[in-house]
Amino acid sequence: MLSSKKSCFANPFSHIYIEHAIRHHPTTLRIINGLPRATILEIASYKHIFNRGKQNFELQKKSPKLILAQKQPPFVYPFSQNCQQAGFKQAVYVTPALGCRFNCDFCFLHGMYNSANLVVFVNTEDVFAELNAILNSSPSSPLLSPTGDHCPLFVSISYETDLIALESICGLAGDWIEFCRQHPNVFVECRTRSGQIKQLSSPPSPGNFLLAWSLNPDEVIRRYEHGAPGLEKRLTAVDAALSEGWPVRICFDPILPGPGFEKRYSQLFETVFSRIPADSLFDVTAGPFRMGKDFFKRIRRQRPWCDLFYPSENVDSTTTYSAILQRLCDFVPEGKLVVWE
Amino acid sequence: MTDSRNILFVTALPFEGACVRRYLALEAEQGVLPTFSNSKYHLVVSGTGKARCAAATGALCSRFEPDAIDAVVNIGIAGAVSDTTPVGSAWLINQICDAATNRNWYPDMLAAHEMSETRVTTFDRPVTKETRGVPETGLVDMEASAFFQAASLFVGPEKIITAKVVSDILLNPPGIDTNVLTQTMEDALPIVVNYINKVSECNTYTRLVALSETHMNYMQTLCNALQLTRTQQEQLRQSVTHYVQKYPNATLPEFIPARVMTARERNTYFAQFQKELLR
Ligand code: SF4
Repeated sequence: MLSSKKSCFANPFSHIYIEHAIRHHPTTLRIINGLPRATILEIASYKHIFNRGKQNFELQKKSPKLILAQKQPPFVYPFSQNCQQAGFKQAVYVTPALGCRFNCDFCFLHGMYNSANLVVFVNTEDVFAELNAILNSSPSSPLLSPTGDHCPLFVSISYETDLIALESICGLAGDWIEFCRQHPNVFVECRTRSGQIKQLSSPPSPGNFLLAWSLNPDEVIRRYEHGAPGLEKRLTAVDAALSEGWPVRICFDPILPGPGFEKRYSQLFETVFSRIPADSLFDVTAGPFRMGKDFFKRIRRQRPWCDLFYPSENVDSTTTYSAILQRLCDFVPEGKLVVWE
Repeated sequence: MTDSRNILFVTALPFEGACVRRYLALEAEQGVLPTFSNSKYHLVVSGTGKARCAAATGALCSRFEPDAIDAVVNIGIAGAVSDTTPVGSAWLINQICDAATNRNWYPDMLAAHEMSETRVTTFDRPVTKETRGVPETGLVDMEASAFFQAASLFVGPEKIITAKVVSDILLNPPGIDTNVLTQTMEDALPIVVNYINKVSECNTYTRLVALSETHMNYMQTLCNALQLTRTQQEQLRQSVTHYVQKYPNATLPEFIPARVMTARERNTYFAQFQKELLR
């Protein structure tokens, strides 16, 4: 079983593996300056560490290492049909980092990667260049809307990581905020479970950088979102973000099934919306626990203690989910609510 | 899944093996390779060079279930490249390079420790500073890359440890006093074993609760009583595994071995039982 004691482990990021090619990149230097006690090893490719066989994901989570790498093209990926696009006609995602500081049981990353170490791609300028090319491209580009409208381009930057949780180490969200300031025709979404926004750039915040907080009841956080801050910390961060003028999205995603969870989510909505008026938010999204079959099977093998991967017939998750959504509608006006079925 | 924790050592030279054997109080065993053991530690002395080391590492590892191995350790002497590296100093290896192929391997450095870390480059024959391909930093030896590759077949990179003690600055001055080296190895062993114990402790943090014989018998009895299909047997195994991880100290729910007449009755009974296990 997992234990919380971990004194025998080296500190997180005790080692930084750096690809030769970006050893002297300004972002690399910024990151290693912030971790002066780390042991530095130069490597040819991040894959030599990240993709090794037989890695122990759970143990690595106790002492994750940082891998600094150069992202190779493609830098920008179109969203698949299944992904939420916030009503934007053009939606893409980028992967500034692979892996996360937190350890949520329901996270698809555990099924996707062999390693719990964190890869940070430092060459953000290449991603910006590709986005610029898309923005300037002809209407025939598949990333433009079918009518060729130059509607803002939606970019998700926290798809395979939690960039805000890494901000004190990497500062990449700051680079994206600057990009947003200079490119009003881009709309960036950054999802997080972090309780910190202090490290983001000082106001005025650009109106096209959306901070999207995933929230769950405290009991769910304690049970399934290991290492992530509790609800109160996240709500304090939401408050701070709103008062600094950031557009904020609240994501109740994933809504997890469990005995008595209807009541817990109901209490959560009361707590959240008694404090944060829904009108002040960009929008609210909600979605059930969902995962591809292969990832599900793989994580089920890795985490046999986690009941999410052993659905009990005692809980009717579909009915519970519908009831929870119905309750959510009492708090959020229709136009503000985006729901995943 | 088992709780026995075996720590395996591989040394190249007999005097290195003798140091480990004395320090850990190991008894000689019968066999083709010089092998020594007690209830927890096991040592094989491979001889010099990559082929011998890989063969000996594989032979020792294959005696255990991979889950029953807590660490595989290569400890021995190595040459230092730089004059500033003190002879006799002990190093933990965080990168292993094979000089012939230029491939690199990286053990996971998960445990906290106070040893110095460096990289080792493995050559096929003894080298001097003038040899082509000798790196500018770190240590050189003749086994580490083969050891790592062989050990990787059995365990993950968090369980593979390479520790080296500096015997010379690339054979300069040539001729090494074995007594001095023995003393050097003996001084380094407590530090290295301390690190191994830390690695071993780290491993306990994700160790799954082992299915005991009682659990196995329980499943077997249920399978026989209900004449479960293969799919149901697998479902039962998964549910029991989940139950045991979730409630490590609880006993499995009791079942009344009903006299099952039809497949339908069996399926109904099994579904109820699964419900109980996944409650
Ligand atoms: S915060 Fe998000 S990315 Fe990080 S582990 Fe949780 S679900 Fe995965």
